Amino acid sequence: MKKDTLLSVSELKTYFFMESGAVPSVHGVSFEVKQGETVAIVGESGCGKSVTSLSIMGLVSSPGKIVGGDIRFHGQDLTTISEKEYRKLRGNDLSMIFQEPLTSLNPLFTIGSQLDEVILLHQQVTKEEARQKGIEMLKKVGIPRAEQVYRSYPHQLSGGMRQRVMIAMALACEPKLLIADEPTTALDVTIQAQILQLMRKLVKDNNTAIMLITHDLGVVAEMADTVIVMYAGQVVEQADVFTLFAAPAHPYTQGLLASTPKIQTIEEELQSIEGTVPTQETMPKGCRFFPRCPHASEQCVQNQPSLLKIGGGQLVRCWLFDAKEAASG
Amino acid sequence: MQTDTTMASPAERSRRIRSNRLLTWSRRLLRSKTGTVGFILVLAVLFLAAFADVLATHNPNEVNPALMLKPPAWLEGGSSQHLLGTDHLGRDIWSRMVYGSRISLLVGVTAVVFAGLIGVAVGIVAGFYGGWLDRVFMRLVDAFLSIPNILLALVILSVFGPGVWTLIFVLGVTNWVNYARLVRGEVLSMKEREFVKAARAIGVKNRMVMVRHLLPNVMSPFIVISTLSVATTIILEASLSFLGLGIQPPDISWGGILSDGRDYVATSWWLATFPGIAITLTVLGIIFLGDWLRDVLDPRGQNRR
Repeated sequence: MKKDTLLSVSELKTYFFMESGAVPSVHGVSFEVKQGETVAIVGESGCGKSVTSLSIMGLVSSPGKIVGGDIRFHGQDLTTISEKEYRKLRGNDLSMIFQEPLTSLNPLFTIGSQLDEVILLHQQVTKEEARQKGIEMLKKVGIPRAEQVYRSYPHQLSGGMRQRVMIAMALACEPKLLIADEPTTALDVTIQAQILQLMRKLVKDNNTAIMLITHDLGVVAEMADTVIVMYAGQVVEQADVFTLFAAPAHPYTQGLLASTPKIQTIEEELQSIEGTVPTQETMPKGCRFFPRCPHASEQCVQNQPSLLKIGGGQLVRCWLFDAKEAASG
Repeated sequence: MQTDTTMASPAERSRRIRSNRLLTWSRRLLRSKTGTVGFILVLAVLFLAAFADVLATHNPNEVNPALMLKPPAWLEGGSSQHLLGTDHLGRDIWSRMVYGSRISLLVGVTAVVFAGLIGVAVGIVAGFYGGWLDRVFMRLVDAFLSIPNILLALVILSVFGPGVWTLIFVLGVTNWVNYARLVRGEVLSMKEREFVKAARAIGVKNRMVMVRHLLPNVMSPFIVISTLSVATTIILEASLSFLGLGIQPPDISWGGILSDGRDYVATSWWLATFPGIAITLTVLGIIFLGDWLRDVLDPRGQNRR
């Protein structure tokens, strides 16, 4: 059964215009999210994951700007709609959960009034109905004593509780797409598992698609259907979750997987990828990963590889595969 | 704090909540010593201003050359007729102070509110939008800051002529820059906080983000600065009155009485001392009250105080 495409991002370019010049934070990123599907975007800090998600939400703020490409949501190009139309989408069809549950709630208002805000903004309901709905949402995300929490201030709740509240807010209007920017990074491991489980359940119930931004491959393995690996503002590999973990194609993906501790191979020393993500000044002319790549060749230094299909829906941006294909074909 | 309100009717419930609230607030006030002192002082000044007609023993502008520079009642030569003595024109100081409280409070509070409104609005808009708007506003602030307050006040007052409302305008115009700078700084750090991003991510309008999410969060530093400012405003009003451009007779202000008494400080100390004490106590009261308000308005502090 083929599911309908919900979100399609093509050749998205988001640049930050600094005094020293334009910094291409997202440089030609394309991908699709189907209805009810969970797509994980992984990569190191600074590789453009968060900027991609903010671009989709239309929340890139100055000096950042979307300079090219389009974002189609339900066939509607989000890069061309007005701010007013965007506001109608945000919180309604498009929702986002941020990394820091501790600062994502306004410290001066009760949980209830913040929950009501999003409901009243997008639904034609009375205050009392909004309150009912708010409490119902809190119960849905597994918060005990929902009525009491509804009246509490953010500082009275723990981090895990606050993240549940954020999820309740994000899902209050039954969005079609939920963007979760490192939703569990700030939480401890047991709470992480609970939050992930909760997200998975809610998503299944409502057929909501998730775009999960993370650098935690454990979370990816648990949640994702499709994985997109980003490096220095580009997609370097895309595959379904089983393929990616079983047969990572791009050296960067292999590096990421090798740098994740595995319980079976406890005696082995943990691998790390040498070096850091290049900055604007040090951005290589050829493949962006070659300075850190164990397989780098002359070709990698000179020319940038393009994103290649290597079968089974797997895409990879690496000369190794181009060479192989050329040899076999 | 929470009683069982689930079974009551909505009207009953809201009544109970309201009386509960009053109780909670008064309990919170009593728990803070400085808050209580501030509250009493401010209440006392308000009482003076409100019941000036009843409390004054004489017409404050009644000149009586026969009773010039009489000391307060408890000193030798004082009379029970003039509780705090008389000034160089034989006017009753107590009565003048009671009436003076009206204008001093009016000027002090109104000027601060006026300056606060401009300053907070400019600060939030400049900080939130940034870019050229921010640059224009902040250069304007710099321009205002580079002109000495008193000079600017003198220029405006001599152009428009002295008067209570001109004075309020002048004090407001010279003071708003402080709020603008303070609020802008707060907004700059606040808007990077995730709840502001989160508010925008659920589709809240920019205007609502500013009013609902930024404004309340910049209120606590604002309250602190503005209460301190009421103090400096009362004093600035006094210095302008002293220069002859403040409150004009027959209107009376504490600053005016104070400057009238300046020439007689060596011989008749009571002329300048009593208005001085009144200004000090009022300012102290407002600062204490402001401090307490800041503490209770912040929900994070509720468990402590």
